[in-house]
Amino acid sequence: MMEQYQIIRIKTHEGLTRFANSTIHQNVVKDETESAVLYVVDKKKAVLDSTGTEPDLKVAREIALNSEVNPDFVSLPDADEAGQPEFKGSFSKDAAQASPEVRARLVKEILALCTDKGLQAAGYLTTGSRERNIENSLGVKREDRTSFSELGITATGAGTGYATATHYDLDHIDVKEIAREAVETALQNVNQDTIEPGKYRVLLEPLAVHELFDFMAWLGFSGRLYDENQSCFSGMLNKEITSPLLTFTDEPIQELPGFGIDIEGVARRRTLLVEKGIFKNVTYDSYSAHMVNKKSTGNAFSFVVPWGGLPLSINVAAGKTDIADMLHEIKKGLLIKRFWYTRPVDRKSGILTGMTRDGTFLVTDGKIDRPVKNLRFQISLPEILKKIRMVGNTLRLYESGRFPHLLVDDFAITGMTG
Amino acid sequence: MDARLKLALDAVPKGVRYADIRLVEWEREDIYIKDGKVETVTRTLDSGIGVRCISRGAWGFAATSDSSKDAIGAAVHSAVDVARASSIAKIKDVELSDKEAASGVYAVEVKKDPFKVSVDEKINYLLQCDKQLRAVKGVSISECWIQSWLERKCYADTEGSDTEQNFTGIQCGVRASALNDNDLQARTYPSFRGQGAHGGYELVEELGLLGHCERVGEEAVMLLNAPECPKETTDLVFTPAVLGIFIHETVGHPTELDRVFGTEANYAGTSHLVPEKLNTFRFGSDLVTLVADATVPHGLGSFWYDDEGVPAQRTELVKDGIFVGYLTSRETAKVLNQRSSGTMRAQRWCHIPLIRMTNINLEPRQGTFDDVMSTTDGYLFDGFKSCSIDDRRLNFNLAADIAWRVKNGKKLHVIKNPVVSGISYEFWRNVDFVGGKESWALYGLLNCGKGRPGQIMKVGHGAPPIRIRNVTLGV
Repeated sequence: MMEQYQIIRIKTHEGLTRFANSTIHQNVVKDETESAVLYVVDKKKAVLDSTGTEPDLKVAREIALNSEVNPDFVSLPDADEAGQPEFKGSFSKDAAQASPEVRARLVKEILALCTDKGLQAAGYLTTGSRERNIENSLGVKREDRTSFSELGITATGAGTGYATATHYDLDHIDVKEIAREAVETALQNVNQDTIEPGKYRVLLEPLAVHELFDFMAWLGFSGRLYDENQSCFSGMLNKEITSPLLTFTDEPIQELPGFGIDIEGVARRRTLLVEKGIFKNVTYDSYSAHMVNKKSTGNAFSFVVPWGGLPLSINVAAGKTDIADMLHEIKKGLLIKRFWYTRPVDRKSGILTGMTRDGTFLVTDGKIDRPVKNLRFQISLPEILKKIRMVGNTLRLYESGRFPHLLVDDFAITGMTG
Repeated sequence: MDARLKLALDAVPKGVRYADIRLVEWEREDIYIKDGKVETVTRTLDSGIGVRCISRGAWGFAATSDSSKDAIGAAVHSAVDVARASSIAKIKDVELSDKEAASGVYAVEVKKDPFKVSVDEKINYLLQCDKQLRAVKGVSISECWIQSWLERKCYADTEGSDTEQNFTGIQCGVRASALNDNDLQARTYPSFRGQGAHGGYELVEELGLLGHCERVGEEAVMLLNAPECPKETTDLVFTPAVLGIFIHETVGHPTELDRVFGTEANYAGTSHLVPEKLNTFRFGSDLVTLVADATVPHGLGSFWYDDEGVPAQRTELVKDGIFVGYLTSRETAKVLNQRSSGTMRAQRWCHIPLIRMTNINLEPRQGTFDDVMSTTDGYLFDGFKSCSIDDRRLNFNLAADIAWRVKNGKKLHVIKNPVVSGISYEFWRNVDFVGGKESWALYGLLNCGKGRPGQIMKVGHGAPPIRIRNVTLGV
C-alpha cells in the first residue's frame, strides 16, 4: 500500500488599520495558527485543514480511504524535486511587530497630508508576519517566515487619486510619498471630460500593468491549463507571444513579502516565462507536473485548485525608455493609472473587460491634456501584448511582482461611466 | 451561554463602552471531481473567537484561534488596545443605533444531515454525473462538486444579547466545457458556481444534477460551433440565474450604506445611490420592487440575528421603481436616524462584521416564462459567466454562458459569448416584464467579496424572469 502525506503549519499575526473620511473606522488584529494535511493512500487523496498546529493524521487518512483512486497522482515531491531553497523569506521585526499605535500614528500623518490639500483620505495600512513549517513523508522538511506591510491610499475631493506600496519592511513604505502621489492625482483628476469609444494608444502605469499581468499569469502561464489546451497561449511554447520588448520571469523578489518555498516545500526559483517576446516556460505544482512527466517549478499555492501552479511573483525586465519619452510618442491617446473590476469575458481567447479608475487622462501631442471619466475597456490580452511599443525604464513593486510602464497601441475603449 | 463567550465578556475591562464577542466553529467538506477523477476530498475544521469593542469612542477588534482562557483574555485586552490606538485618529465618537437584546438557540431545518451521507455515496453520485457529462460527444472537461458545511455561531454583547445560530448548508453543481484550439465554452447547472442554500443533503437530491448533465454537455458543445454575439439594440429576457448576479452588482452593492458613506472608497468603491436620492430617484420601471430579505427559507443570506445581534429583517430597497432604502449597520443607520436593518456579517471568527447583502430579491409580479417568451423578439440570456462594474456601480458589462435568439415563443438558435453593457439604472428602467410567483427562483452564492482583510460572504438572490427593452447587445 502506497502512503504519503504532507503537513503544512501556518502561523499568522496580522494587523490592519482602515481609514476613510479622514478617520480610522476599522482596526483589527488577528493571531491564527492553522495546519493542513494532504494524505494519499493508494492514490486516494484527502486534505484536512484545521485550527491549531497539530493536524490529525488519522482522520486525514480515514478521509482518504473513503475517497476514490486518482490515477493522475504520481507522488508528492521528494527531497530531490524539492531542491534547496536559494531564497529565504524576507523578514523585518518592525513590520512583524508593528503595534496598532504605530499604524494609527502613520495613518494620522496620512490623513493630515490629505486634509492639508483639502482632500479626504481612505485606505488601509497592514503589517504582520507569517511562518510556514512544511514536512512530508518523503523527507522534505522546510520552514520559512516572512513579514509584510502594505499601504493603500485613496485621496478624494472633486476627483480621486490612488497610490499603493508593499514591502516586507514597514520602514521601506514611504508614507509621505504614497500620500503625495494619491493627492497629486486627485487634484489633477477633476472636471473630467468624455471621449468617444475607439482604439487608443495608451500609456499604462505600472499599477495597471500589474493587473493585466495578474490575469495573464492565470489565463496563460498555468502549466496545467496549458497542457489541457485551456491556456490562452496553449501550443505557443517557444513561439512569439508578446512584443520582443518584453522579458519576464517568475521568481522570489527580495523586497516583497514571500517565502523561499511553495506550499509543498519545493524551492521557489527563477523561471523564465517570456524572453524577448518568446514564450519559454509555464509553471507547475507537483501534481500537474507529474501528470506530464515533469517536475514542480515551485509554484504550488493550494492543495486543491483546478488550474495547478501559477506564477507567484512576476519580475518584468526594465525597458529603455523614460516616461517623458513614452508620453512624447502619444499624439492623441490616454494615460491610465489603474484598472478596476477586470474580468475575463472569454478565458481561452484571453479577452478581458474592466474599467479604469482613479485617474484616466487624455494625452494630446505628448502632453497630459485633461482627465476623462472612468472608461470601460475590452481587450484581447494576447493581441495587446503584441502591441507594446515601449517598456519603461523604471519599475514599481506591487503585491504580485515588479512592473514597468507600457506604451500600447490599439487599446479598445468601449464605453464610460455615467 | 458558551463558557468561552462568558470568559471573554468577563474579561472586558470596566470603562469599555461596548463589546461584542463571536465564537464561530466551522466544519466543511468539499468534494471536487474533474474528468472522472476525484481531485480531492477536503475537510476543514475552523474555530476561533473575535472580540469587537468601542473604547475612547473608537473601534477595536482582535481575534484568536486559541480557545484557552489566557488567549481569550489576551484577545479582549488586545481589542481594547486597538480601540485606544484607533482613537488617536478619530474625529468623533462612534455612535450606535438602539436595539433590543437578542437571545435564543436557532438551527436551520435539515431533513438529511449532509455529514451523515457518506463521502463514498457523494463521490459515487458525482462520478455518475461526470460520466453522463463526458458521454456527450465533444465535451472536453467535466467537473462536478458538492460542498457541505455546518457553522455554529455564538454571539454575546455587553448589552445583554446571547444567541446561538447553527447553519447547515450545501453547494453543488456540474459543469461541461467544450474546447478547441481557439475557443472554450462551458455550461453549468444550476448556476455558475452551482447552487448554494441553507438546508440538508435533500437539496442536492431535489436539484437532480444527474438529470441535467446531458443537456449541459450538449449546450456546451453547441456553443463551440455557435455564431458570435452580434452587436445590436434589442430586447432581452433574463432567466433568474443571470438576473441574480445582476441584482447583486447593481442593487446589492450600491445600497450598502458603508459604501455610500465612503468606508470602501479605497477598495470596493462607493455608490451613486447617495442619501439625497432616497425616495425620489427613479431606479427602475414601476414593475421593479427589490428587497433585502434575511428571512427567506433556505436563503444563504438568511439568519435569525446578524453579527451585531440585530434581528433578521425584510427591507425595501426599491419600491415600484423608486430607490427607498439601504442595507445598514447600527453605526451607519444612526447617521440617518434609523435603526439597523440587520445586515452585519463576518466571514469567519477572525473577521470584523461588515454590511453584507442578505437575500436581495426582485419581487414577483405577473406572468409566466412562456408569456414573456411568446411576446419577445430578441434574445434569452441564461447562465452567468462574468460581470464587471465601475466603482460607483453604474457602467456594467454582463456576460452570460449562453443566449438564444428568440421569436414568437421559440428558441431559434444559440449565440456564444453573449454580453450586454450599459448604465445600471437605465437598464432597470427599461424592464417591462417581471414574472409571477410561480417563475420566481432563489440562487445562493458563496463568494461575495468585500473589505480588507478580504472577506467572502454567503448571499442569496431571488428573482423571476424579466424582459428589458432596447438594450445594447455585444461589444
